[in-house]
Amino acid sequence: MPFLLCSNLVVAQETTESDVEESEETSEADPNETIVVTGSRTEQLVEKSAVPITVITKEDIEAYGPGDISLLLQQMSGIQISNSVLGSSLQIQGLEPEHILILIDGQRVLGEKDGVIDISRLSLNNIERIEIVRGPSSVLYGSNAMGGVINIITSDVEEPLYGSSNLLYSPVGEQFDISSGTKQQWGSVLVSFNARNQDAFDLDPSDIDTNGPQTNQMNGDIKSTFVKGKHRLTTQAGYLRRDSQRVSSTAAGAIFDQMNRTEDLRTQLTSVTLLDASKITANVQWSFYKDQFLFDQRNATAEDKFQETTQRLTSAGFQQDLVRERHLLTYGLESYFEVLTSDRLDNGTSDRLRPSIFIQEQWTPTEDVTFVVGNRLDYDSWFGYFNSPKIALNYQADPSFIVRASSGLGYRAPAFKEMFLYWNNSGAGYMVTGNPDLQPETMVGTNVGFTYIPTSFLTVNTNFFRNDLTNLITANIIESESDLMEFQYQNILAAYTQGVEVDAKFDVYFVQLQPKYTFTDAWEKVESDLFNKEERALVGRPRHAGSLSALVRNNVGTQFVMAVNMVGHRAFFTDLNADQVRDNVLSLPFTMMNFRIQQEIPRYGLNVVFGGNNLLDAGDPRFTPLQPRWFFLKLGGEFPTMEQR
Amino acid sequence: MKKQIVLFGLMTACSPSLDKTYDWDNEEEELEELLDTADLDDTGVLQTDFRVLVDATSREDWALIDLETGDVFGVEDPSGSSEWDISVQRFIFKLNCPLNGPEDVGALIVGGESYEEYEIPPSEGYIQDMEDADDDGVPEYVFNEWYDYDISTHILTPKNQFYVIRNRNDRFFKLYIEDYYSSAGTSAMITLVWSELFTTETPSE
Repeated sequence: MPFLLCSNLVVAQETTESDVEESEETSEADPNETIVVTGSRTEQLVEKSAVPITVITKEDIEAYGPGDISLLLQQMSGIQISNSVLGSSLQIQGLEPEHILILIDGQRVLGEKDGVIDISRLSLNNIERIEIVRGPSSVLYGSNAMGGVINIITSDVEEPLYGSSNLLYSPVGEQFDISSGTKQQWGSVLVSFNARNQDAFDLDPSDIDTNGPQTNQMNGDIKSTFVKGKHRLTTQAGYLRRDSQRVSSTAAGAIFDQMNRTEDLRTQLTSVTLLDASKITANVQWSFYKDQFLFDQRNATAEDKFQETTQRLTSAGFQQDLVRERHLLTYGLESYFEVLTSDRLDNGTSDRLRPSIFIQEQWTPTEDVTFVVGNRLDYDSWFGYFNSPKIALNYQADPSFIVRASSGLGYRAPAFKEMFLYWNNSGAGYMVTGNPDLQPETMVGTNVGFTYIPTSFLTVNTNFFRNDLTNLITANIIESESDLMEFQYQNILAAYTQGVEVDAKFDVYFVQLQPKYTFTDAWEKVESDLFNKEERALVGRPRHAGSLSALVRNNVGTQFVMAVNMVGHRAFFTDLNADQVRDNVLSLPFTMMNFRIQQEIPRYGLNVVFGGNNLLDAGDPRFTPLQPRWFFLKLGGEFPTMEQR
Repeated sequence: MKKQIVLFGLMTACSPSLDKTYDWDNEEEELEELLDTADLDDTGVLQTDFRVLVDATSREDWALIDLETGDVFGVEDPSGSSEWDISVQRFIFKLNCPLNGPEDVGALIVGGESYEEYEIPPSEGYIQDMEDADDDGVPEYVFNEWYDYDISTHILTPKNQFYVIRNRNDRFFKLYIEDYYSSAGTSAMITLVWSELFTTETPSE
């Protein structure tokens, strides 16, 4: 394989198998040759990627599941998961959730609330792998990808007749999923359904508030792939509905029953055609998100509220990957049209059109060196043109040492809510208003790192990062003409994050160990009398965070998994001494510890898992609302069995 | 693909609106407009304090207060009405003085003295709401700074002070804001306490 990058494409042309199948085959053959698609928008060996990528495989998901994606990522991704009333959100390299683009098979996930997409609503069934790209990725994905991209790749059926089902029981909730599909000459179809519920929890019995909501969720997905010659057509549709309820109170004594219903509908049509030396991909996507929020005051009606938000996103794209000797040229067009309607918007409805053109060249002058240079030009109907250039290098000094360096410009156009929000929470005593004068955030991000593989059973990755943000948007307190504290979205001066990410994978015989550590130094420069400082720590970022996941298995199908996730102090700001000045408060460090014991019964295609989450009862009601320690029992079955396969 | 879209579209369309299906707690808060009924003697002199819960939750309408009777009411055009002495909307209090109405109500702030023991109103020193003088976009209301604000809990707490008000009929009242919140925690459900003051010790004489 003299020309690895391009050969991926060439190999793909020689077969009518799907890319995902190819990925599976490769990853089974050699874990170090996992193929990823997110970092370059085309198939690529992970070791040849010029940007730092973490891949969570199907085997990882089976080992560290069940649950939702937030729990999985917290256990073993090395990225930070924060929990709040907005749900579970991501931090990569000290950057906020709104700087991280979340995709399902390349399709944007909607439902951002105050910058947060609650990833706990994303279930784990039928996921082939999760790719986590760190660093600015706007060059390929445009707005919101300035800090990184999480791409959830769903599974395809591999058997003529396939079925699986899982049932989980725990004292705090239940979960059930069922999937069925077929693979034939013409293609494949996979249908799946998932339902789960979870009880509310309360970490502070001295008040009536619940710190975690009671949730009921169901989602269904259909994915079908039609293959004819060198053409492949994939259609996907998914619907999710989630109800969550919680109780909150104010210092004035008002008690509220809150209910939130979110619905998410996604449809996608993707066509892939393999030609002699190129691949053409075209897709059309339509997403719909609806959020109903209800605020019911007990023993009174003055503060009752009902608000509805709908978001529609239509997109169409075209991409061609061209192989010419030692060059892989990727270029394409993409356009998004978004409409947001909300009772919380000052103007009710807003829309935006965002067409873009992107081009990227991967040049491999020698077997050991890959240069990547690219640019994307976006047009936003609110903010005009924006350029996102990027340059990257992958240098394999020897088979055991790979150096990666990349630098790029990213941007994020302000969300409609940041521009036009009028959210009056008089019950809680504050209001948040939008700011039509906001400017897009921009970021220059640089990553330099290496992969060291001293032996076949040990891999060490290190990545140094520095991200400089300008026009960072945050909600600041302003002078208000109301009796409520008024927060308004503003472009603060600047912020930066810098640090290092280190992870290792030790995989020998029946033992697999994965320690990960991240040091993050994150500061913002603000002009505010309230804080009386020119520079302060970015809220909620731990300087030190790490995890250790361990997996031990034997040859009779028994597996033991232990995952420990440690998060250090995080900075928050609150008025401690009633002097009307917010003081710097550090949250306590915490450690999440989970375990699973799994027994496979291959002959019958069954597996039994007993596990526990949050064994150390980490969490506090103010900064870290985590579900207290809970145990579960899961029964699963799959057809055909491993033996039949 | 079309079938899939239609199927999921139907699922979404069938999803009931939460507003319609939710079992709202529609229990109205009991508004005891006059918590302690005013006790007027034969000569019309107030014998007891007023303690009134004022619903000032509206962001459009003003709650108008007649200090003599304890009535709280609304009119379409408060600026043309002579039936009120003070008015309130959310946390803003106005006097019926030339800036806001046809009357000549004035007030002064008393701090550091006992409300209970305060008996004789001063004959002068009353001020009125004025146009914005400090360019903060807010008129210079006499009641502008009646509260302390906690930025952590967002709670408004009345300052330890009271007001002496000369009303539209040149009668005098001492008044303090007891609470900005109702028992159900609703903001702008304001409890006001006031009683009449007399320039002589025996007003009925």
